[in-house]
Amino acid sequence: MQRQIQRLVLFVSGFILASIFWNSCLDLVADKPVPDAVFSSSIIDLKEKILIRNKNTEKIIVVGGSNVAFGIDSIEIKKAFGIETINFGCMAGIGPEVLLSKIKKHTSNGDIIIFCWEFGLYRFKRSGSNFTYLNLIFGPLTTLRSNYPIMDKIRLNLKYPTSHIRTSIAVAYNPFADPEIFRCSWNFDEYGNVRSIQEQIVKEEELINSPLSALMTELTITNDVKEILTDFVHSCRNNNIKVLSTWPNTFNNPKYIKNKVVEKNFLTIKDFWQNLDVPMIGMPEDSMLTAEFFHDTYYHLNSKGVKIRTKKLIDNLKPQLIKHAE
Amino acid sequence: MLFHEQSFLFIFLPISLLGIFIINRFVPRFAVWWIVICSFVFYSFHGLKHLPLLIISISINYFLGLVIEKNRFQNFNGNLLIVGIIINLAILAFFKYGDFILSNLSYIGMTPSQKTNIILPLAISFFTFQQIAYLVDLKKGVIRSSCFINYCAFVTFFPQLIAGPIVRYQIIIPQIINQAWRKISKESLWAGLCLLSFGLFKKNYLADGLRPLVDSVFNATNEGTTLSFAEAWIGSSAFGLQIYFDFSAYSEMAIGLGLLFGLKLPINFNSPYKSKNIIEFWRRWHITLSEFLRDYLYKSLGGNRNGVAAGITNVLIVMTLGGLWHGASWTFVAWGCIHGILIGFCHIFRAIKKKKEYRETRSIYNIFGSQLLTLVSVTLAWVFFRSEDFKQAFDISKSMLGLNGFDLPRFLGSYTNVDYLRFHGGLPNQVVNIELIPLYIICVILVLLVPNTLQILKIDTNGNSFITLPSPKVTFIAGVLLFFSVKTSFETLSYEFLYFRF
Repeated sequence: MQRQIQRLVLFVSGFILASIFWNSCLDLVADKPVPDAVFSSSIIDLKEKILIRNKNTEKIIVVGGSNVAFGIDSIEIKKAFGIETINFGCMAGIGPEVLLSKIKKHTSNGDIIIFCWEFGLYRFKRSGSNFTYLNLIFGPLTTLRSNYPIMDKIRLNLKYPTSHIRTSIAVAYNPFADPEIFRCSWNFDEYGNVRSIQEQIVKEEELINSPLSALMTELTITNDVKEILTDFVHSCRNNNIKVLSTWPNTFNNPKYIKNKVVEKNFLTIKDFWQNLDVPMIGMPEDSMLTAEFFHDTYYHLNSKGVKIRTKKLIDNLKPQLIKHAE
Repeated sequence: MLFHEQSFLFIFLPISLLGIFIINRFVPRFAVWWIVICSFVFYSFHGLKHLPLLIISISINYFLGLVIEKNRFQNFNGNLLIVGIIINLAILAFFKYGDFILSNLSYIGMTPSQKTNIILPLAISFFTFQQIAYLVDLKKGVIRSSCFINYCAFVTFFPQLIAGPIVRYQIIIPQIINQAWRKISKESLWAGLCLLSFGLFKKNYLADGLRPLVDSVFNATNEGTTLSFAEAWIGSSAFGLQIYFDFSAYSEMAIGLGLLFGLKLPINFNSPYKSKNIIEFWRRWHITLSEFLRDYLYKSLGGNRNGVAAGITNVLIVMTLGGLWHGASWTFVAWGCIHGILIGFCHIFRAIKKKKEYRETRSIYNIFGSQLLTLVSVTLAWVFFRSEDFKQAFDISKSMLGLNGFDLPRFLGSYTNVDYLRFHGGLPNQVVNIELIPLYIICVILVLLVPNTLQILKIDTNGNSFITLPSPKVTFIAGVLLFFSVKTSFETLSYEFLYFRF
C-alpha cells in the first residue's frame, strides 16, 4: 500500500511540477514575441503613438480591424468636421480587449469613438483559438492577461501552443535575423491610414467565392464581447466620451442578398448596439461595395473604395456630429 | 474522438472506466456488454454511418465461424472458409479499393473515368484481417468459438479497434472468458497509466511536432522544387521518425488502455530502427501485422519449404500485398515491393553465409554498419510510402541518391567548379524549418540510443506480457508527460494517427 501511495504522490507531483514549469516557460518567453506578435504589436504600437500624440486634443477615433485601416480615410473626416481624426484600425484578430485597452488609456472628455467592427469580432471568445490574440497576450501585452478571471487564465495558459515557445526562442536567439524583420510593412500616414496599397488585386470571382463565414452563419454575440463592450461604453459615458457604431466595409456578395441569416445577423448587431444606447450610423448596405473598390480581400478597400466609403461615412456622421456640437 | 483529445481523455475514458468498475463490483458478467457498448460508441464517434457495416461484418463472420466449427470434419468445410475469406476481402475491396480498381481499369481503357466517392470505413483493414484469422484458426481447430458478445468484444475492443494491434482470438478470448477485468492488478493500472502518458506525449510532441518539417519538404516537391541532398534526407528521415512515434504512440496507448481494463494486448512495436537487418525490422515494426502475413499468407503460399527462390517469391508476394493493405495506391504497392526485395536480399545473403559457413563477427563496426544499412534502406522506402504519386517519390529519391547533385555550404565554394557540386548552402530551398532541427535531433537520439517505453516499464516483449510495477522515477516522469499531453488537448490543432487511414 505504501508503495502505491508513494507512486501516487510522485505521479501527482510530476504533474504539478510540469504545470509550474509550463508557467515559467510562459513567463520566460513573454519578452520574446513570435513573428505574428511582432507584426501585430508593431501596428498597435504605431497606432498608440498617434493616440498619445493627440491625447489632450478633442478627437474622433475610428476603431476596428484592418477594414478600418484599409477602408477609412481619417484625414477626410478631419477636413469635413474640423476635428482631429485617428484611424485606429489594426487587425480584427487581435480581439476587442486589446483594441479597447489602448483606447481606454488615451481618450478623454469630449472625444468621439466610432466602432466599425468586422463581423467576426462580435464572436470573440477570450478562451477561443485566435492565435494572433494569444500571441499578443502571451507576448508584448502579457499584462492584459493578469486582469483576467482565474479560470480564463488557466484555460488560456493551457491553450497557448507549446510550439510557440519553441518559435519564440528560435526567433529571439536567431543570430542571422533580427526579430524586427517581422514588423508590419504597411505604410501608415500620421493619422493611421494605410497609404501603401492603392490598386485592386483581388478578382471579383474570388470575392464571390469567399463569402464571409462570420456573416453567413447565425451570429450570437458572445458573453465576452457583451461584457467587454458594456464596460467600455459605461466607462466612456462616465468620462463624457461619445460612442457611435457603424458597419464594416464588405464586398457586396450576391450571396448576402435576401439571405435570412445575413439579415438576422444585421438585426442582432443593430439590436445589440441599441441596447447599449449606442447610435448605429447608416445601413449595412452603405458599406457594401462592388468588387472594383477592393484591394486584396473582402474587407480591404483600394484607394477608390476608401474615397467612396469615407464620403458615405461622413454623410452618415453629419447628423450625429451636429447633435454632438450642440 | 481520438485518444489524445479532450472528449476521450475527460469524458469517454473516465465514464468507460467508471462503468467497468461499477459493473465489476455488482454484476461482473455484464462487464463484457459494457466493453462492447463502449467500443460501439467509440466507433460511432468516428463514423456512425459505418457502424452497420461493422455489425454486419461481425455477424456474418461469427455465424460463418459457427458453421465452420460445426462442420470441421466435413469435406465442404474448406469451401466454407474460402467463402468467408472472399466475403471479407470483397467488403474490403469494395470499400477500400473500389476507386483504385476503377481508376486502373479506366487507365487501361476498360471503364469510363469515374469515382465511387465511397468513404473508407475506419478500421476496416484491421477488423477484416482479425476476422479472417479467426475463420482460418476455427477451420484448423486451433480455437473454439465463444458466445456472440465475447466475439464482439474481441473484434471491437476500442483500444485496438482503430489501428491495431491485430489481435488474435486465442489471445483475447481467454481473458474475456476469465473476466480479466475482475483481477486488475495495481501493476496493470500503473503500467497502463504510464503507457498512456508516454504514448500521449510521443503523439502530441514528437510525431506531431515533426509533421510541419515533413509536410514542408514533401509539399515543396509538388510545387516543383528540386530538393537538395540534405533536404531530401532530412524530409524522408523526419517522416520515418514521425510515423515511428505516431505508430509507437498508438500501440503503447492501446496496450495501456487495455491494461486499464485488465486486458493484455500483444506488443506491436519494439524499437524497429534498432534492427540489424530488414527481417528483424519486420519482427519489430507492426509485429501483429507481420505475424498475420507470415502465418496466414506466407505459410499458405508455401513459405520457404520449396527452396530459397520460392521463398523469396513468396516474400515478394506477401510484402507487395502488405503494401497494398496499407493503402489503395501504387506507391504503397511499390513500398511493399521494395521491402519484399530487401527481405529477399537478406535471405540470399543468409543462404550464402550458410553455404560458405561464414561466421558472423559481432564487432561494433559490423553491428553499426548493418543497423545503418537497414535504416538507410527503410528511409529510402518511406519516400514511396509518404509520396502522393510516383513523380514525387522519384523526385525525392533522385535527390536522396545524389542524382540531382550535391549542395554544399557556401564557404567551400571556391574549391571546385564541378556541375553537380553547388555552393549555395546545404539547404538552399529553405523548405526545412530550421527551428525544428533540434527536435529532429532529439527524436533521432530517442529512437537510436534510448531504451523504448516497454524496456523502461520492464514489460516483457516475448509474449508473456509480464507486468511489473513501474519504478518511482518512471511514475514521476509519467506525471510530467501527462500534464503536457493534457495541456495539448486544450490546443486547437489535433492530428489523427497516420495509421487511421489504413
